[in-house]
Amino acid sequence: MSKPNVPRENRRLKRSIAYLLTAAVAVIILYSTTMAFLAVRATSQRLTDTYTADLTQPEYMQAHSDTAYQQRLAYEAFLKSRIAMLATDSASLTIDLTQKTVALELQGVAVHTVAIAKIETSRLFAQTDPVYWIRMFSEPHIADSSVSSVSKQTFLIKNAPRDTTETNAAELALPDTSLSQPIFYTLYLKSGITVNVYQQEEASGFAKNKYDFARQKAMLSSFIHSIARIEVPKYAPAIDIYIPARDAYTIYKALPKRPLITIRIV
Amino acid sequence: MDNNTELIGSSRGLWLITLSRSFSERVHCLLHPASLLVWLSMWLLTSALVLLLFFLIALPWLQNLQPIFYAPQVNVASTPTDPEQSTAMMAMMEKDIAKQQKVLTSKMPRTNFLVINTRENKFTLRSGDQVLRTGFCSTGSYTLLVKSDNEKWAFQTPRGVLIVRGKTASPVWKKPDWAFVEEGLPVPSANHPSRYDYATLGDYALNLGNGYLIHGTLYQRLLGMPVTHGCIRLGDDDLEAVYKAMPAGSKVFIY
Repeated sequence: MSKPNVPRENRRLKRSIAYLLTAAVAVIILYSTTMAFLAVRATSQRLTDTYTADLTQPEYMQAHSDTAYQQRLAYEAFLKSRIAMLATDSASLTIDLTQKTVALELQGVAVHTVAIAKIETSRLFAQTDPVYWIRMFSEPHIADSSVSSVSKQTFLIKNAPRDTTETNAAELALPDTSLSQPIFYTLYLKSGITVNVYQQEEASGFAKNKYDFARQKAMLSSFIHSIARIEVPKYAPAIDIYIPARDAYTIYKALPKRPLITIRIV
Repeated sequence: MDNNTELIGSSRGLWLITLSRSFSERVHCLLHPASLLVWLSMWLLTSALVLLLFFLIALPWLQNLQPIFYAPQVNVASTPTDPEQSTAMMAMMEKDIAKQQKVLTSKMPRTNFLVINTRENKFTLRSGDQVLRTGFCSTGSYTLLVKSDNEKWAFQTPRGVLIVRGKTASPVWKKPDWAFVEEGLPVPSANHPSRYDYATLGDYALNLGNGYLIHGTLYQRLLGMPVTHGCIRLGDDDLEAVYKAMPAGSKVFIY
């Protein structure tokens, strides 16, 4: 006579498990969302904490009431940052979002300038008082790591021939200088900002999605690690720029491993 | 009594009995403890998918969309309203900007200079921001020639800002060891006549130091490709123009 109760009990068990698991998933989603928001807030707070002290200076007060003055202040900060980059012998990068240009500079001389086709920035940039950004970008930022869809220059190893017979046998192989791979790279600035450089050609295709997915996997891993330890995860506001593939590759190859970058955002 | 028996006992049609029996069997099968594991696995898989989609798509989107969670802005002290003060501040600002621009402008070479793009193998002869001439060149092949563990040569064009240290017409190339090693020839003594080559470098050479030169080439068809041992090769006309336009001390920007 207990047979009819088995399905009912199973059903009850199943329902309980379903409720529990659904609640667990909901809690995870809610917790992650809250942590994600807190991450944004923490970044914003860090920014304001770092640059608040100087905001009482007359020039910053003036910048709040006068847009023209604010723009000149931003331009001055941009110039100051470029001057600070003169200290390095290596190539450095200047990203001017107001003029929509990217320039590779060597000791203050722009040797390769490219027009930016498209710019996308995190909303944090628009939502935060521009004066903070002006203060922040009045000095160059170092990119302490990067990822890319292509490799930087690698050496082709060639063994010396033993005699002239071997030399003659070896065919002259002409290097392949075509761009066979899509060009995407990300520069992680030490200050916590991410600069994504995408080729403008086929900018919304499968290759870009694949690259973004691979990048997001790393971000996701870091995010999960943080929230598992009940820590506020890191949030990196991003600047995405789209430029022609050949220019993007030229710039990437020319930059040293830890390049200096100047950004003008206002 | 299970549902099936009840239905058999009722006066409904045969089709209903068949249907209900089949339904009942299916329910029994589903509720069997063994099938619970299957069900659980399916559920977990769906949840994992939902979570993955959430983390990869929804979360980044939410992060970028929530000004409500941004830190409150600090109230900046009252702004100056005096127009005279504003004008004075703007004038001071323009003065500062002019000073900064002067610093940057002073870094622009006063003489003509050469810019070499090693990835595209292109050169640009410039005077300030003005482009005087542009064309193809050949730069380092990024080859590592290996003879033994102790004897290796890297064929790359140095990057950065170099200076033209000297200029020569009808240059003679004193072949270094690697030129013989690469050909599979025995390396001769330091001043052996076979080291002197009178044709390879073309009509002119500009010395950049450390053995690197800007010179001509016999292989004009390879211009635009990275094929050299580190020197910069130019076509005949371009080389002549560069040789004439750039005095010793001129800068060469290589990137």
